[in-house]
Amino acid sequence: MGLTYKHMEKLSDNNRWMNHSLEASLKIEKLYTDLKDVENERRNYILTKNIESKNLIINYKKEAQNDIADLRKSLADNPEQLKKLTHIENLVNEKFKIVDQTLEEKNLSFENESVKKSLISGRIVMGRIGASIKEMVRIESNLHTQRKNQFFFAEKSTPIYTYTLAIFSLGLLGYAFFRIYDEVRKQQKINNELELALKTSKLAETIGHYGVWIYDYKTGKYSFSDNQYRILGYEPQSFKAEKGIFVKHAFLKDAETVEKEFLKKNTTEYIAPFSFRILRKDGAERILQITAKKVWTETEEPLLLGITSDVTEYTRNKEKLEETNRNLEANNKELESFNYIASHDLQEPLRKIETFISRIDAKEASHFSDAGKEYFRRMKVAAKRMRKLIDDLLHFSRTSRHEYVFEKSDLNVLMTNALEELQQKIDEKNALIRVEKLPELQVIPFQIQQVFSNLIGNSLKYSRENIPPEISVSAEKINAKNEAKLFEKNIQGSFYKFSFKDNGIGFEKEYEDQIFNLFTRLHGKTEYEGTGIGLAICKKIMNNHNGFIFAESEPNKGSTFTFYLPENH
Amino acid sequence: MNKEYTYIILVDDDEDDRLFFSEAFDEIKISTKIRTFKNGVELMDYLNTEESMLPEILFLDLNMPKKNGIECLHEIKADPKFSEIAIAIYSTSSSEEHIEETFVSGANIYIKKPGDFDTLKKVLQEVVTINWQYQTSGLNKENFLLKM
Repeated sequence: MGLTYKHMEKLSDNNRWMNHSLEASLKIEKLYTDLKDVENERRNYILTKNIESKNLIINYKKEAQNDIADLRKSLADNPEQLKKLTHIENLVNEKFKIVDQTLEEKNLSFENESVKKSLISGRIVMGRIGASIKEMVRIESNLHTQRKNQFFFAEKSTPIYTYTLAIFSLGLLGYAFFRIYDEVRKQQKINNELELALKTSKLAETIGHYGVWIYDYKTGKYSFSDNQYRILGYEPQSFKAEKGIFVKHAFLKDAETVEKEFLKKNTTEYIAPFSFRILRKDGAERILQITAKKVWTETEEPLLLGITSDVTEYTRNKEKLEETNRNLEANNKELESFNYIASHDLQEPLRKIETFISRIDAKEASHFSDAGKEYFRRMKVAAKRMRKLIDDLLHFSRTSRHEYVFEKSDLNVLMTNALEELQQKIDEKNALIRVEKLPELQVIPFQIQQVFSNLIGNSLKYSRENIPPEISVSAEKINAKNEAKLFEKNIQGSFYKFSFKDNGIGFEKEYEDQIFNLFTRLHGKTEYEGTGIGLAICKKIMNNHNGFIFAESEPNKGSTFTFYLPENH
Repeated sequence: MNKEYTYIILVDDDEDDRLFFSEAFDEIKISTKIRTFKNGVELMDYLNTEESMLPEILFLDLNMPKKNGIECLHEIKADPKFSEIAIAIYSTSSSEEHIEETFVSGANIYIKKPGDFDTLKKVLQEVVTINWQYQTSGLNKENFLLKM
């Protein structure tokens, strides 16, 4: 900056000097003009003897004297020019003496010898003044040109010099600033990211119950993350990391496994997850899982990156689940064996009773007393009921099996089949059954037919005395959110709603849920035959179809059974 | 050899069933000779004895101690010398698994023991009067289970 300032200072100095010489030249020229005017006016005066001319001459003389005084000031710093000016001044004074003589002349005529003489000497003096003035002007002009050149050089070089310097400096500064700023910013960003990554990583380890360890193949040294220490029950970085600590804390029977797995690092690039039990420093029994993988640093140095997870909770939950599963499996087996007992072992004695009854009926019953005949009749009824119970129970346990296939089925056909099964009872009771058009749905066909058959069978069975049963069946597509009973259960989606409405004996509202339970009967066996299994089967079939069944009833008015099947299975 | 009767063997561990079986044939007006065994071991011992006469029809109960009906069925079907014997499964169970397994193993007919003596008589009469040579060639899964 200092450089530029000096340059500018010089520049302005130059400029001033240049203008100065120009001004001096002009003043010299003016002096010459004024002197010429004096000479011209003298001739006019000689010719006209006019007092006005005389006055003008006096004015021009004064003007010229002022010019000289002025010039003297202007040229004060140029001794050479001052000397010339003094010479000119002397000549001017000489000239003015001649002029004064003319002004005082009584006989003013060009014929007058003395006048003639003064004109000639005046011209000579003027000539000498002119020459001197020319010389002065030439010097000033040279000075001007010299100064001008200096100025122009300075002026010309100034923009390039200044701009180049300015741009260069600015550029340098800007670049430096940018680089520094960028570096700082980058560094800060990296620092922030690193800090965040580190924090996140540490948090993740704590939340995820895992720790990280690294084995450096080159140095043969281990390093542990903070949480790796905590997992083993230690304060972070409280001792020198080494794999022996895992072995030390492992259960005796697992210690060998840990040793073996760690040895794999020399032969493989990946150690698959393995679990082992440890006794933590604080005495707590935990289950750890370790897995590790060989990785390379940027400088191509091999590291073994290991992760130790505390899988205690996970393993314990898994074990619990497995135990529950085992229990469940055992329960299922028990149920299956119950199924077998029902189908085989229970049936066998019953079949014998039945066969003996038929033998007695054919050969001996005619010899019985009346009481014996009555007992024998009741025995037959009891055997028959047991037969029905066993058959229904068997049916019920078979319904729970999930191995049946879903098929797209026309429910109208299934309904027709069900009604055919029940034809005899329908005729006996003189029942009126109205069935609306039913949809086609993806179902287990024989199970849905069973539901139709059970529901209509119930309506026929529990009809009012002397009133022919009227049963109406309807189906409509609905959305679960518009059905209070489904909405209550937080069920969503499209369903088909089937309603079976009858005019039978009905039942009390309090039994609406209960009647779907196994062996639930609301009426005496002697009034209405039934095992209390039919509706339980319906409910099970609904479960198999992800459907729902409900009952609504009023005693002596009738019942409505409603079930919902999902539109898409 | 020319006999005037049909030789029938029943293997069943249940004494009552053996009684019903014999009594039913007593009442059926067909000339038969009935022999019964209490389990599969007794049956196989008998069949494998050189001088034993082989039955035309063998009724096999499934659930028996020592050696059950399925095991007997496999052994009999594995031996060509028994290829002439018609085998009727005679069981309390009518489970799909049992029906399927015995059909695949080569039994000729499956009878579910009825709970009525008259029905029993009808069933046994039907089985005995079947032309077994014809029945065997037309055997299929649909008519394997005898329906009364």
